[in-house]
Amino acid sequence: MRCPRRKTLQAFLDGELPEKTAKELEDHLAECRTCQDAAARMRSDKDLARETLRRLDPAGIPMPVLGHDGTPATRARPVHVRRPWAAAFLPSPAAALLMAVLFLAGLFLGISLRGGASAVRGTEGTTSPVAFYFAGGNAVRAVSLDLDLNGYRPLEQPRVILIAEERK
Amino acid sequence: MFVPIYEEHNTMRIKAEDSRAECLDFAAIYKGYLPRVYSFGYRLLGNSEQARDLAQEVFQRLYRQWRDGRAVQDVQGYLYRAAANLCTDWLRKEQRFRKGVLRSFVPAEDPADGAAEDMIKEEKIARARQAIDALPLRDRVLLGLYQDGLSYKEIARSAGVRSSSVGTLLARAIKKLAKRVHQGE
Repeated sequence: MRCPRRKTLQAFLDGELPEKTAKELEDHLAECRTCQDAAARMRSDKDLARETLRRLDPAGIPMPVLGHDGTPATRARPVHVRRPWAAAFLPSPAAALLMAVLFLAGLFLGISLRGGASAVRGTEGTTSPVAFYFAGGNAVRAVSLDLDLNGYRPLEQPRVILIAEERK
Repeated sequence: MFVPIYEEHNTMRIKAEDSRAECLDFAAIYKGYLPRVYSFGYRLLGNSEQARDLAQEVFQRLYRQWRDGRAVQDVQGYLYRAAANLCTDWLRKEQRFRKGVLRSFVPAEDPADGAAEDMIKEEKIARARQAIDALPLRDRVLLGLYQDGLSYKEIARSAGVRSSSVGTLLARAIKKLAKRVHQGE
């Protein structure tokens, strides 16, 4: 066997050569002084490199952070993003929408009750599941929206259903 | 040195809509490989914060593959390849950023308590860090993979080099590193 190239010698030191080639190289090394020296130098460099790299090992390993479904959780990073004002509602858009509807409904009822005449006594019609209470004048009234809007124009002739009324 | 590798997970064919059991499989892969990916990143980046970010990003990538139902044949190879690519990108960016700025201005990572032995140890670590940082990026990545005990084939796949050149590249990188260490002493 001729003197091996450096990459072959490196592969030999790393145990990456096929058995047959490794055996041939071993036999060659037993005879060739130059290759013995080269191999010794490479081995010492390799040990030094391994030792140097070992020093760079971390002192500890972080614990895996897993989400509830077993997937890696995203680490919160301090990212500065300009948030639009509407983002304040993002945590629960449904809740924000509900609040808006209730507010508008309340406004609508308030206005229609002021007119006074359009409140219907009793439970006729289809009431909304939310009741509103108004304390005004000499009575406390519980009213609800009339949802039975067939053949009826709510904006022009707002209709609420008076569920309960208590006069002082 | 490392937490045992989950060899049985090295082939992963999981679809996102599959059962929770496979979710747990992903968790096992994550737990099993996290120490390796983290150590690899730490060795190259020299910073626990960045190493943690790297590990997180690498596993997020694997998770996205898994979620989208794309088969990953060789999980270990995938993780190392992703880690090596990210490290290279980050270090390249950092090099550009730090051009002309001395590395020694960067605060030492994980400072130990002030005992004399610790100071010697820190000194050794600093020298090792200086030696490795002086190498070209590709050499650093190759040595990082080499130190993790990957075979030449695996190193070739992860670092994106031909497997026939791994021996030559490694021999050169090792020699350069040894020379740097000798110079630093």
